[in-house]
Amino acid sequence: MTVQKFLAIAFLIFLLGIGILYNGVNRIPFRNNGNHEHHQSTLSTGAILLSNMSTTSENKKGADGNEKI
Amino acid sequence: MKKYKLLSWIAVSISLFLLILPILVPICDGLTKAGSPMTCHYTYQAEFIITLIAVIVSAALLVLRTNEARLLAGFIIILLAISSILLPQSWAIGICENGSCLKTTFFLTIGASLLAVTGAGIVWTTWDSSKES
Repeated sequence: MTVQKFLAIAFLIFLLGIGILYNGVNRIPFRNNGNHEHHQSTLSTGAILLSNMSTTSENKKGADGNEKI
Repeated sequence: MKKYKLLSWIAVSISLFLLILPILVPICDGLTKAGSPMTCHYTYQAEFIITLIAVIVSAALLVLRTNEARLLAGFIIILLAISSILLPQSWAIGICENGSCLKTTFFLTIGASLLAVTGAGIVWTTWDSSKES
C-alpha cells in the first residue's frame, strides 16, 4: 500500500471516528435519557421529612447540648 | 525488521484495545443533578480522539518505509500514550471520585503504559537500524 492511499483511508477512518463520537456509539448510553428514567425510591416522603427534621434539630444543638439561638 | 513488524502490530492491537475500552469496561452512565454528563464522560470523549489518532499512527508504521518517518511515528505514539495517561488526572480533565470510571482508568493506564513502551521499542529498533545503514 502506498502512503498516499493510506492517508486517504486514514482520513476516512478519522471522519468515521468523529461520527461515532458524535453519535455516542463509543460508550454505553446514559442511564436516564429517553425512556430510561432513574429508579424512583419507594421510601415515602413522610419518612424522609421526619429523618431530615431529626437531623436538623440535632445540628441546631451546640456542644453543651443546648439549642443554639 | 521482524522485531519492528511485531512491535507495529502490538501497537495497533493496544491502540484498538484502548479505543474500545469504554465499551468493554464502561465508565459512569449517570448524569449530575444538573442533568449534565459527569467529568469522566468528557475525559473519555477526549481519550477516544487520542486513541483514534494512535490507531492511525500505529497503522502507519506498517506502511512507512524510511527510518526517519518510522522514528517520528514511534515518537508520536509515545506522546499520545502519555497524553492518554494524563487526561484522567484531576489537573487535566479528571474523572469521578467514586465512579466506575476508576476501573476504566486503571485499565487505560496499563494499556497506555504498554503503548508508550511499544512506541519506545519502535524508536529504539529504528534508531539502531538507522545507525547501521
